[in-house]
Amino acid sequence: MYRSVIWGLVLLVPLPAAWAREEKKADDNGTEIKGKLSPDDPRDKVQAKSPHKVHTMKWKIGESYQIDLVSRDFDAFLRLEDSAGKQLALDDDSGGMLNARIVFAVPRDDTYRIIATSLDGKAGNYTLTVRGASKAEAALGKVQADFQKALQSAQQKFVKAATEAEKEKIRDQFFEDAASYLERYLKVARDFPGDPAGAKARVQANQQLSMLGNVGSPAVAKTLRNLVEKSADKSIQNQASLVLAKVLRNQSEKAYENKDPKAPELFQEATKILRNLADKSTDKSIQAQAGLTLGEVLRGQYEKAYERKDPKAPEAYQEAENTLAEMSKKAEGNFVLANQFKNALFELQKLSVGKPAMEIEAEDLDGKKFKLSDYRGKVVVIDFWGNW
Amino acid sequence: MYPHERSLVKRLEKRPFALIGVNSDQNREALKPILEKEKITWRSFWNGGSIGGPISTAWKVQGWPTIYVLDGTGTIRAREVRGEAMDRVVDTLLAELENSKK
Repeated sequence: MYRSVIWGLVLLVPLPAAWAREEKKADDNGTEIKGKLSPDDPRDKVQAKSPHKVHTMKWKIGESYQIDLVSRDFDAFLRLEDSAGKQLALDDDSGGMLNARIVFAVPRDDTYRIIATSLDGKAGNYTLTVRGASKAEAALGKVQADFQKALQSAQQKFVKAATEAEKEKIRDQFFEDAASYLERYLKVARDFPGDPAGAKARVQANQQLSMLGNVGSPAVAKTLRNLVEKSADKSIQNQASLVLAKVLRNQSEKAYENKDPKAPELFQEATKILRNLADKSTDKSIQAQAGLTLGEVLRGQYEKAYERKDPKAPEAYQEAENTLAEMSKKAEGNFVLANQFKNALFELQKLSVGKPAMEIEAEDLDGKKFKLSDYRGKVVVIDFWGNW
Repeated sequence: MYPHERSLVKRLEKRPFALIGVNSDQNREALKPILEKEKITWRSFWNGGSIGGPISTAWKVQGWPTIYVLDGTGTIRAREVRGEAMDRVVDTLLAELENSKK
């Protein structure tokens, strides 16, 4: 496929396997350029403290390339611009170790500028390799490039944001965008089953998914709901359910803080999903994670209720205790998991807000014995620390 | 970490408040110059020279630092609070304690 690409043909028909193998060889023989960044080279306009070198390539629409920048002397950073100097892609570490990789699908005939620079401001020798990329690699590369751009732009905005509220808004927006990248990664995985790039896209999708568990945005919840309902991939579906429950829990916590009447409803839905996964999921790992998350969620709910002096706090405590006791009994055959549930139950009973602190009796740093209860009658902060 | 704790201890020195550490360093003697240099005046339990010591194990501590805030009755009133959030909890509990004595 790559040879055809290099000859400037637009490929519309899939090639037979034998061809694909031959093409694999062609891609191994991509263009290799040995170069050197000197400390005196002009500074790069994005990595303002780093020297840079520009390599130009004439590329045609429909071609795809993988560009690798490898260096032992500096933390390689790659950028790609069109002939007018508009930035199209950038990358720091996608090439493994500290090396940079961009996979690029050429949108129009042009002379493109590959910019070799460093993240750490250092200079030294490098190898720049440019080879044709498969359609799957190009599709994955496009999503990765767009995601990197979105990440960079969010980071820049985040640093400039003046208030916490602004920062939170930028973060939420970023995660909402991340949810759409998740869908794009999954599409690449669906479009190229059995291709290594397709498999990689699936791994990326999974990472994107687990990242969303800390978010409390309704838009993210919507994307996840969609995945749970429509995804044909059972494992993605399960994972998405678990993450959806976490997002709903986060949403409910925010709603409680803002005295939004929707809070209990969101919380109920989160626990319902978790209970369902903990009871019925065929995926053992999801089942365990859901059970442990459910325990955490119920404990948090009890503690919040206690803090706001809600008369329902004892009820919430009972629900958490019963659930954890029940699950730790069910997990008896699995030593590791049973132990995790046992710990969670202990934490609920002994280490939660509203519970009497356990006694500590030990020597101080001078070897003198004392007790935590010596400080009864005072407000006490216990700080587990170390000078490291 | 230390500067914040130092200022909290200093600010509340006349109030019914105590900061109690549980220290998990390996060597008590090696720690002494650091206590002096960082002006760490508050008392610490000795966790036996290991992060896996008896106190952190009993309290299921998995990350450092870990914080618990107790009221005057020895009840846990907050956990996982840091910085300003910790100060706010402490101030609320002190007000609660001092009001109950009036």
